[in-house]
Amino acid sequence: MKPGRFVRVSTRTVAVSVFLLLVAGALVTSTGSGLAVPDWPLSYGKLMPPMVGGILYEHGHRLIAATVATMVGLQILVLGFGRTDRTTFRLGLAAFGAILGQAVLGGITVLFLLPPAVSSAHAGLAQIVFALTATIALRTSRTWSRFSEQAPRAAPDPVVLSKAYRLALLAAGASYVQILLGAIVRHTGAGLSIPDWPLSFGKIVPTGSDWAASGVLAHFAHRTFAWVVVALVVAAALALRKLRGIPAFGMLSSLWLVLLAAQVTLGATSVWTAKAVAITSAHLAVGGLLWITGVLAAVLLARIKALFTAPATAVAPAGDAAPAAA
Amino acid sequence: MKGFGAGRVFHLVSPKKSRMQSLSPSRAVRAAVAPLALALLLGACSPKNPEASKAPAGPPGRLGTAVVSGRVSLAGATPANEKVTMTTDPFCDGHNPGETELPAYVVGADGGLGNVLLRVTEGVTGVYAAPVEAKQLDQIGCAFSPRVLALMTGQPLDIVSSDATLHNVHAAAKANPPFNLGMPAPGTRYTRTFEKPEIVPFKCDVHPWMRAWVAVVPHPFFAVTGPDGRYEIQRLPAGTYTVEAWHEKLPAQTFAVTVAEGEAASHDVTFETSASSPSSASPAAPPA
Ligand code: HEM
Repeated sequence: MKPGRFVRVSTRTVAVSVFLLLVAGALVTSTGSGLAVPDWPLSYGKLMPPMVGGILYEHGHRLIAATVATMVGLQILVLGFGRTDRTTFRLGLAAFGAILGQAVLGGITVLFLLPPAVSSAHAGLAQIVFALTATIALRTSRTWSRFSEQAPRAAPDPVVLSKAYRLALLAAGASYVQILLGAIVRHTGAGLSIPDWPLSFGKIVPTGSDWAASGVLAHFAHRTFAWVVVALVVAAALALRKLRGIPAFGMLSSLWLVLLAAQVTLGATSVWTAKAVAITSAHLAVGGLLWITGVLAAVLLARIKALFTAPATAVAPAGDAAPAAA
Repeated sequence: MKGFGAGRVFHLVSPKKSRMQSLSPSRAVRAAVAPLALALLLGACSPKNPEASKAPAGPPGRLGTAVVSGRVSLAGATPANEKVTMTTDPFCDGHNPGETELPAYVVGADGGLGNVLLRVTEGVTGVYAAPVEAKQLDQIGCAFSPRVLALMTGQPLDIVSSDATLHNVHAAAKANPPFNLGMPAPGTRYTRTFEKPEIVPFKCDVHPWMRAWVAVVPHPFFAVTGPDGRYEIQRLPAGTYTVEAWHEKLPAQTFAVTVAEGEAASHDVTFETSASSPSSASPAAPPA
């Protein structure tokens, strides 16, 4: 059974809200407001402190997070009562667990004065929550149902499909590694450890004493691994284009390439503008979109592979419906 | 009761009990969160200096009658101080309307440079007892006052706020446990001590332009220049010393000086700047 309109709209709203929460979190770090509220879970001992200075960003982030976490919790009910399949329901549970873990990490990082390991874990888990909620939105979308109905008719070349799937997985994985490297750069304050771009200290590879300054290794790893991401995303996006007859992939491919170009430009501009707040926040947000595009491409390709290789009845959408109120 | 981020060696000497209690994360939260954090960080969050709470041992240090004094000045063009607007907080904006210059370079009419810390870094022997009188770091008109403050290891530091707005006092200590205190109203007061020598950068994350540096020195031979650039290090015993001049933006300098009992030695220090020195250069890394 196809998920109804309410389910579709709800899951999409949740995924978009998680993205907005990411942006709010990006602003906290970019404005240096992470410790503007020293206590947690209350803020200056209150539910609502005056929203002045950095408190606006830090407490604002907490308020948005509380709202979004509630939405992710309610989504479980929507998925359960909306008779979505068992996997989607489980993803809903995982998303709620992950966002609760995210709240705890956020609290810990405040109470322990932003240890880079915890702040980076908070940044990394945020993107997992985004991936889970975006996947749920995809699995309850019309596109998903349409694939289920049409794939057997428009079966793509299995070799092309497998290659595209593998490349999408690799590109998504590399994007996530790059996100973690970026989080380390950001939370160890290494954003300007190398002051120029595309060269590093005027060279292709820093030499000798260049490495002595703190953060150079993490920063160089991030900007170098970016080229691995570029290569894999370009390869995966081009592979998607070869899947003729599935219009969604043409669009996804173009979107992916645009996001990639934007992300490299924003990374470079972060350095050139000495970490302008809007630029570094946008770099985090577009990084999230780049990763999600990879995740959604891989999930869609996996679906098509399953529909194409398995007997049609075994993967029918209603075949593994979740218990209504599980 | 402990304040936020209180490490083992920090003592809240004069708590404003009712107000502070409402600010502290509950014990339950700490209890739930602490083991998880420890597991996560593999000990990275535990106090970095477990030795810090031990009283320093060794022969007592001597006070003498020698004095080293002089003047610190800035040669070359004075770099422009960074300017900020404080519109994100109406209280701060009311006290500092329009653009406000941050006092990184406090330069007198005759080139004297204020807020320079002078401390003896070599030549002092023995262990000096910390004075019981507290030094005070205030927050007035959305600025720390003073901007550069020096005290002895173990000497109490009273952190107060005179402002009718929220501040947080975030001490990014490295040798000592760092802390982050909520200062929600005028009259809020915490007292902290530092057991290890270092220059601790202080900031308010609510108002990111608010910066201060608290120098923790293991003996009483230090001074901070006033706006005229003058300093005086008193009560030195006879000997040869290395003195360091430290400024938040400029590379530190050292000089050697030899003094006999009762003698007053004079030594001026000049920091050179080039006209192109950027005002927004990142603060000099505080020496350990
Ligand atoms: C192309 C793939 C790239 C991706 C997916 C990516 C992703 C990210 C992310 C997600 C962050 C923030 C992490 C967080 O706090 O959660 C980040 C930080 C950063 N990235 Fe990238 N990045 C890429 C390329 C680049 C490039 C080419 C540069 C150029 C130097 C760059 C420079 C930076 C800098 C300077 C930061 C730290 C910003 C700050 O301190 O606020 N990135 N990156």
